[in-house]
Amino acid sequence: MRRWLFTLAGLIVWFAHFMGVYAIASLADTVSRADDAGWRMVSLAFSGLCLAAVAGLLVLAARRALFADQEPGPAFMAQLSILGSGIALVAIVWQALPNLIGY
Amino acid sequence: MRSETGFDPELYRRFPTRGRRPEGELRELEEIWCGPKGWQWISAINNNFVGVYYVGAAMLFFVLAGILAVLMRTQLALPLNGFLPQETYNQIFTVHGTTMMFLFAVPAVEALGVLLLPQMLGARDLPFPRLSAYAFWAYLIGGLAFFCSLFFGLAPNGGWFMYPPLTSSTYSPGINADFWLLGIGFIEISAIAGAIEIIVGVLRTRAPGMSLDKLPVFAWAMLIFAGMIIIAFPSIILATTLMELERALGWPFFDPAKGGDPMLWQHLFWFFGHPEVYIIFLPAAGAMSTIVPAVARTPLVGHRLVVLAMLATGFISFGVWAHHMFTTGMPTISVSFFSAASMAVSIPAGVQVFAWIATAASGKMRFNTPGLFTLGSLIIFTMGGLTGVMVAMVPFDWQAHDTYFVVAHLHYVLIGGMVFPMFAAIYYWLPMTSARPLSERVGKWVFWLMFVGMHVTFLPMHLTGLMGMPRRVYTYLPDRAWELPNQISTVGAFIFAAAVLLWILDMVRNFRPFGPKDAGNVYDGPGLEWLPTGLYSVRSIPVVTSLYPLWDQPDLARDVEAGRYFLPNAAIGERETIITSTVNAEPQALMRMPRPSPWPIWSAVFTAGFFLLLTVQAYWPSVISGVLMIYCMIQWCWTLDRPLPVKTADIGAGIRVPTYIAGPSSHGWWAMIITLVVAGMVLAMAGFSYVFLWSRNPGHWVPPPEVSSFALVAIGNLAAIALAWTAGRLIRRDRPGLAAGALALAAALVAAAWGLDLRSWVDVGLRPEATAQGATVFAFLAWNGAFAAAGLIMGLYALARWLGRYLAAERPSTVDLIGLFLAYCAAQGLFAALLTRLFPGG
Repeated sequence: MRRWLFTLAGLIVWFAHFMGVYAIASLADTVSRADDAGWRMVSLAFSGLCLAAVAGLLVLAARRALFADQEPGPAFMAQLSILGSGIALVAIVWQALPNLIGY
Repeated sequence: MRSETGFDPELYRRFPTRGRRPEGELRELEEIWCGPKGWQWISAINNNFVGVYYVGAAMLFFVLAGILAVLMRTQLALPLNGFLPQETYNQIFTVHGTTMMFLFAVPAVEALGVLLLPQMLGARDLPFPRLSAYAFWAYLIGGLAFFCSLFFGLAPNGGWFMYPPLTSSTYSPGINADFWLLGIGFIEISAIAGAIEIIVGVLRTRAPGMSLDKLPVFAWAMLIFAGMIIIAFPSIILATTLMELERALGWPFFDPAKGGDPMLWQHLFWFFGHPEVYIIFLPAAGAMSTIVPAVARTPLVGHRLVVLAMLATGFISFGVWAHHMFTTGMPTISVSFFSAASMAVSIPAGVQVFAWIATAASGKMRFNTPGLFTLGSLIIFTMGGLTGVMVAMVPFDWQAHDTYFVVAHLHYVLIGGMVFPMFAAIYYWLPMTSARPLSERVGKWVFWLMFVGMHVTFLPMHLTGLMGMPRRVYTYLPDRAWELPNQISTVGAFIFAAAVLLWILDMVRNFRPFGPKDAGNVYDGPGLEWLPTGLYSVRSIPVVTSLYPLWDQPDLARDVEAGRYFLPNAAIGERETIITSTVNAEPQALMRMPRPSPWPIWSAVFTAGFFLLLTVQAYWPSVISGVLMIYCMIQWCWTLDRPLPVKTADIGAGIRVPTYIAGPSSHGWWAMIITLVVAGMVLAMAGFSYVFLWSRNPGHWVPPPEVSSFALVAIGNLAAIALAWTAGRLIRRDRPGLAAGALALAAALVAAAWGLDLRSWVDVGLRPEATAQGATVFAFLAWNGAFAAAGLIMGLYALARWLGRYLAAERPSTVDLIGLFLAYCAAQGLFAALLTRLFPGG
């Protein structure tokens, strides 16, 4: 299970990110306004946190893929982990843009 | 090389074995895996039969829904046409969409998985063949009953997504909408059963050596598809349940006058509905990624990227549901997030499309029928994808929403992304199950008629939509310039229908299922499914050393057929397959597989009876059917987890593995965990619904019961969790009586905690029909009550197993699985009690 979690970690953070920004906007809409500047900063901070997590995972996965003496299955999973973290990195930046540029 | 399970990979060097196999081995396999005779075909459970039934039923629904499409196009050919009355048209477009999405698209790809995966993975069968049979019969009976409602004027008429308030009892009186709600909810249960089968099958029954890097891309697609079903479908099960509760009992989840909100339906529906598109697309994409390399005779370009793209599609598909709701007045920032996510979807889809193009370009593409269908799919799906990016742009979507432009877009995506790959798959894999392949000459006619018909039908619809013609209208006025594009679309629909008719004729002419031999590997496919097979699947289970074993291991077919690999015989004289580890596919155990039985079929019949009788408001017959369903399921389970004559077995070349495993290594444990994930997703979506409705109108919600009531509920549920855990320890110390007692007590505690929670809410005066808060709190209680009742039945079942001396330390699975279920029930009760007290506050 840990191997699977590691393989999918980047994609899971991506998932957490888009669910998180939707939830923060909904919460903001309930207590104030969805596009309130303060809440947008909260959302941006959350995006930054997710970016840092994904960047960390990317480094970890790259180290594991480069240095570990692995059989084909786990090596393949490490490669998927690198690719997944990479795509998550780009996707998180992309989806944080509406907050950053004020849609 | 490190091992995942302690298995020594050096042992693979013993294969292929040398020398002749003992006489009679093959005959024994054939006798054990013999096909049904006479009426036994109904109770067949082998994937070679159920898979064919399943694909056949799905294609039957495709044809039926297609006939409805032709009727609709005939009606729309001319303005003010009187071919179909308005009400009939409404029922027909609803049943067309519903049948295509729920009775054709998802079951068809699931059916393809059931049919192909065992052979593709080198397994004897999928791990729960009775569950496959149950899923199929439940689907067939439920689907036919749903479709036949059309002939009695009882079919639903609110569109395939059934938005309230149109579908509320005020605007849709009668039982038409109930047919949709109960029928579809029930069919989703069948889809989930199939998904459990596929996940456990792909992860745990692969041929030794088939590590994840050598897992066929179609199996990857099916794994992700099944995982998505587990996450997405609970949402529609919850939505249909809530809507039915509102219609039948007046619980106002979607009624704004009582604090409900129709937007809740849209969120729940599309949280399922958008992933549904990818649920349909991914297996078809997996088939494309298998067929394109075979017809181009070269490995798939970018295999790792394609696998990643499918995984990424699976994840992002859960982040785009609200792009169906751009016109509902959501905050602009939220709409922008969903717009960004919707555009991002095109990246993983694009990766796959470019991989197919690169593969076709780098190999020697053969333009046979499967090749043509893959090429057609590429073109059509890309066109649909491009209009998808267009409607992901919010300003454009505001213009195109609910017009024929969207009808054109979705048909391009679904026909290009699923129907054409499905036909490619049928032409490509049919020689595996039939004594003759389909005709190449006729197949090319079928392709070109379908390709031309598709474009003639749907290309003009982009214009019709941009000219303002709305969806779901049964007629239109003349002189709006809609006549010509509508007439062209109607001509296209008839061309498409001609293609399907030609295909049916070819199937009738050439299809020879269940015969003594198949047509063989006519397209030179590289996967294990092209090994010579019988009803027992492969003669011996090979060691896989390549992603394309038949291309890279030239003697494989000969050695497999000679019994020179794993499990060349029936090691313990039963139907059996090898359980392997999830990552490296190292052999872990021998799994005894069930033989055919009528109980799964009777269970399916009574499950269908329960739902259908409920729909027509025959409540007592429905209850009787429900009781009979439970009885049949208990009979079905009673034969499981029985003692075996030997503890280990030789699975080939002197390699011995246990014949029984329990805990996280066992297939039963995996199936239970996946089932609980489904239940957990329903709970999560119910939690979302609760918070959503609270956030709409928090000032009007009444305070929760006293804290002391929560304390009692919590103590009861925590004690039940502790007892469920203790039962697992007790059975391993060979104290079966105490273990069964602990389970029964845990079940009683879960029920008691539920009763206390119910009582506390009744005491504060909350009524389910009065407010949305009452409705959601009582919905939680009803859901928990159903689980508590199931838990009580399981507790009694454990006691009965103990009395029958079927519980023992060396067979702890029954206790483990019931313990897991009861612990989940308790945790669910605790969660609901906490949430419903946290949000109204004090």
